[in-house]
Amino acid sequence: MPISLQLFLSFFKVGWFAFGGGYAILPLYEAELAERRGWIKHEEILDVYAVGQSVPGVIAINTATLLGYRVGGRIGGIAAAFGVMLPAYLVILFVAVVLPRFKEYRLVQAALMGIRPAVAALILRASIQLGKKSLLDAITWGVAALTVVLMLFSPVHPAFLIGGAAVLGYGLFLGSRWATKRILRLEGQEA
Amino acid sequence: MNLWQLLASFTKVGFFTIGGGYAMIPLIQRELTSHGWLSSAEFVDILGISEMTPGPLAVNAATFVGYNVASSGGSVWAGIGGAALATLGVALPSLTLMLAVSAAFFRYRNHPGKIVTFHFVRPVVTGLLAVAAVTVATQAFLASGAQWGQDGIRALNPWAVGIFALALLGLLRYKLNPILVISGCAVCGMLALPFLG
Repeated sequence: MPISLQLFLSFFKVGWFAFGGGYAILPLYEAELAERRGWIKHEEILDVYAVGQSVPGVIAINTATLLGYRVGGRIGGIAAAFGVMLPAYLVILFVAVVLPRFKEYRLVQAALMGIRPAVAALILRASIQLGKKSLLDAITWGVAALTVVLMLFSPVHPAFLIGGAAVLGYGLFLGSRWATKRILRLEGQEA
Repeated sequence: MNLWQLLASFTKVGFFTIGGGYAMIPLIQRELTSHGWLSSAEFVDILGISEMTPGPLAVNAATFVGYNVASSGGSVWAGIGGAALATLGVALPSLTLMLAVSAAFFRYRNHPGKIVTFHFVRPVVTGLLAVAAVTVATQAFLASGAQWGQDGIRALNPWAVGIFALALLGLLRYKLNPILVISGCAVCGMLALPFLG
């Protein structure tokens, strides 16, 4: 099977379960692309995710395009984006055409009552997994803690925090050979 | 009804959706209501449906509005086409922008500058995910019709808390696949229906 078709099917599968907004799809990408397919490493998915949510566009489509590109080039990116969108399109069409009163069915509401806590657990697991790889010393712990505090107690936008961290990191890389060496050693990449 | 207007309008919505999700609701709403495509009440309906169906809010809204606007003449097929056009519109900014930067992003993925940059970006994403988990849990644990701080302990939905614990156990202890966990929890929710009163 051509890689772009495989990508389309993988993202199509994930798309059916993308409940609960931007963050919720991340653990699904990890399970399908890193664990099941082995196409791409966990850390790389998370880096793509940071980029995908800091630029304009729909997060799930941004990340799908980047991940698809990584595995299968331009066509792969397009295939992944359409794959992840198609279930949303089909379900909404079904609701609009066949079930205009969908929202009021109690069985649907009960299913959603079960899905929401599952999504919370999935996102928490993603945070724990990334934390194990990214919180390497007191400074990185401090950055994460500062992020939590700012997000909870100030109206700051997440894209601003990611952008700020990126500027800080690239600034250190340009400005300090010592810091760069130390960080590369921490990341397991001897310079 | 000009179908290109539908495409152009949702391209704008897609471009506005920086950071994604609920922060961009007012922008989407303004774009849709200004064309008279959607009343405020219908927009709230879309939010509700979007929460109960898979996919990003922007895509859900595009499909729904595209269908309703294009099928207003009565044709289901026109509606399906309109929905496709609006959905394509919402995806266009993502597709073009991402394809433009992707080559550069992956060429430098082992560059020391990239590693040092993401050494600081990753802890931020860790923190953002932790906050997102808390935010989603706060909504998930709230009993229907209740309000935090007003209804005391009765605001807590014990079913949701139990399902959360099961999901976490399945994920962390038994390494279950996320898709299995979501499906299983949906079934648990439906099984709880007779007890929900």
